[in-house]
Amino acid sequence: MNWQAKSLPHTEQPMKLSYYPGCSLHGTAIEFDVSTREVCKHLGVELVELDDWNCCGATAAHSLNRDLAAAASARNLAIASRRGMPLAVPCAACYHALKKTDYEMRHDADLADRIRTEFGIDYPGGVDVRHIMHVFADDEMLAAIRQKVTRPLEGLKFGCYYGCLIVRPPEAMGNIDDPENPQKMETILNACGAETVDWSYKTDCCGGAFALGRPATAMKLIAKIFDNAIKSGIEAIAVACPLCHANLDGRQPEASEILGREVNMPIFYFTELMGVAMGLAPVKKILGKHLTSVQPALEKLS
Amino acid sequence: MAFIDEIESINSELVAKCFQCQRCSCGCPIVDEMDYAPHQIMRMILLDQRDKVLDSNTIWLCVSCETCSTRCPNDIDIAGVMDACRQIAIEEGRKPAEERIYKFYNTFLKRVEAGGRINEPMLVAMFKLATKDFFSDMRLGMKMGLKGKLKLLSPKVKDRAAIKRMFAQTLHKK
Ligand code: SF4
Ligand code: SF4
Repeated sequence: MNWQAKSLPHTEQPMKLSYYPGCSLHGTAIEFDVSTREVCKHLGVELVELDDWNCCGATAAHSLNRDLAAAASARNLAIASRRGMPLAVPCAACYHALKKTDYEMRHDADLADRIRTEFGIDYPGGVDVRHIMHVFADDEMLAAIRQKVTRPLEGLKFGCYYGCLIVRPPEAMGNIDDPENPQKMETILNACGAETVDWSYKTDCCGGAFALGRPATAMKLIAKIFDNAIKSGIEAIAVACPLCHANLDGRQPEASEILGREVNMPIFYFTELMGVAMGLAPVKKILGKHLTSVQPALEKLS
Repeated sequence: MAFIDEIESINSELVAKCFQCQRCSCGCPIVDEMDYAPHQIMRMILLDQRDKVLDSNTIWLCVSCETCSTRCPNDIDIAGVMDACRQIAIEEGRKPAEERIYKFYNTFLKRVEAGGRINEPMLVAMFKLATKDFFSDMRLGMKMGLKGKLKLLSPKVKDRAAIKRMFAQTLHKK
C-alpha cells in the first residue's frame, strides 16, 4: 500500500486553509495553537479560523448518540464547505471526528438525509479535512521546511507518538498513513534534522478519553507507553494531540510509581519542535508551559 | 426486533460476519478489565443476549481507540458496535456498569449544550460536582493553574439555536 496524502494545490500564493482549532487549543493546548500558527506563518501558509465553529463532540458525543456526533461535526463541515478551502485541524480528536463524519456523510445517504431534515444542516460531504501534520508532510512542504531550518534538532533521540485518532480507522481517515506504523511525523522531524527512533507503542492508546472518567486505567496505558519508549532509547516524545499531550506530560509522577523507576520525559507537540528548528521566538516562549520541563532537552539540542 | 437489528438500525456494522478469530480482543488495550472481551460481545449479540451485553462493563470500558475496527478481517466496526450499545443502554434508562465514565461523557455534553464549546476548567468543576469527588487531581490542577493553562472564560457559539436543536433532536428526544 502506498500511504500518500494528496498534494495540496501549491499554486495559490500564499497557500490558504480554513482552520479549526477546537476547544483544547483555545485552552490547555494553547502551545499547540501558537506553534501551529507561527510555523504556518513562517512557511507562508495562511490559516483562516472557521467562523462560529462549535465543539466536535469528541468521544462523549459518539459514545452516547450517533446523530448528535454527526450533527456536531457536520455543522462545522458545512461552514467550511461554504468557504471552499481545505480544512486544517491540529487536534487529533477534532480531526478524527470531522474526517470521520465527512466520510460517513459521503457513504451513508440515510444519515446525510437525517442531518439535513432533523438538524437543518445541509452537508453532503466533500470538504478536504486535513490533519495539520499531513499539510506539512507533503513533498513540496517538506522541501520548504528544510529551507527554513536554522537550528537542526540534533543531539536527542525522538520518538513520534501518534496515538489512536489520526490513523484509525484507516479508510475513514483517508488511507494517508500506515495505521500500524505511521511515518508522516517522522518525515517532518527528519526534515528538521532530528533523529527518530522506531518503537512499538507509537499507535497504542494513552487512554485520553478516560483521563477524568477512569484515570487508573489511563495511567496503566501511559505507563506502558513510557516503558516501551525508555527501552527503545527515546529521549523525547513528539505528539500531535492535546489529549495525548496532557496525559503523557501530566501523568509522569503516576507512571513512575507504576513502573518503579523515574520517568522524566519531555513531551513536545511536533509543531513546537518545528518552531524550535526554525528559530521562532514566540514558540520558544511558550515551551515553559509544559508540566514536565523541556528545558534540559532544549539545552541538549543547542 | 432482534438485538442485532437494533444495533444495525443505529449503525450498520456487519456483526453477523464475525467468525470469532479474536483479533479484536488481542489488540484491545482494555480487555483485561472487561467483563467480556470484544469478540465475546460480538457473539453475544448474535445470540441475542441483550441484557448481558447492555449491562456489561465492556461497553463502557471501550475507550474508542478503534484498534479492533482497524484490524478486523471482516471489516466489522466493533468500536461502532460499542457506541450503539451505549446509546441503546442510555436510551432505555439502564444504569451504566461504569457510572463514572458515563457521568464524564454526560457532563461533557451538557457543557457543549450550554455554550457550544468546552471550557476545560468548567468541565472539570462540573464533573467534580457530578461525582462529588472534589480532591482527586488537586496536584495536577494546581500545577496547571501555575503554568497559566487554565483559562476561565472562553467564547461561546453565536448560533445557539443550532446547538439547541442538536440536543433537542437527540438526547432530549422523547
Ligand atoms: S476481529 Fe472481527 S471477525 Fe475477528 S473476532 Fe473480532 S469481530 Fe469477530
Ligand atoms: S475500540 Fe474499544 S473494544 Fe476496540 S480495541 Fe479499542 S477499547 Fe477495545
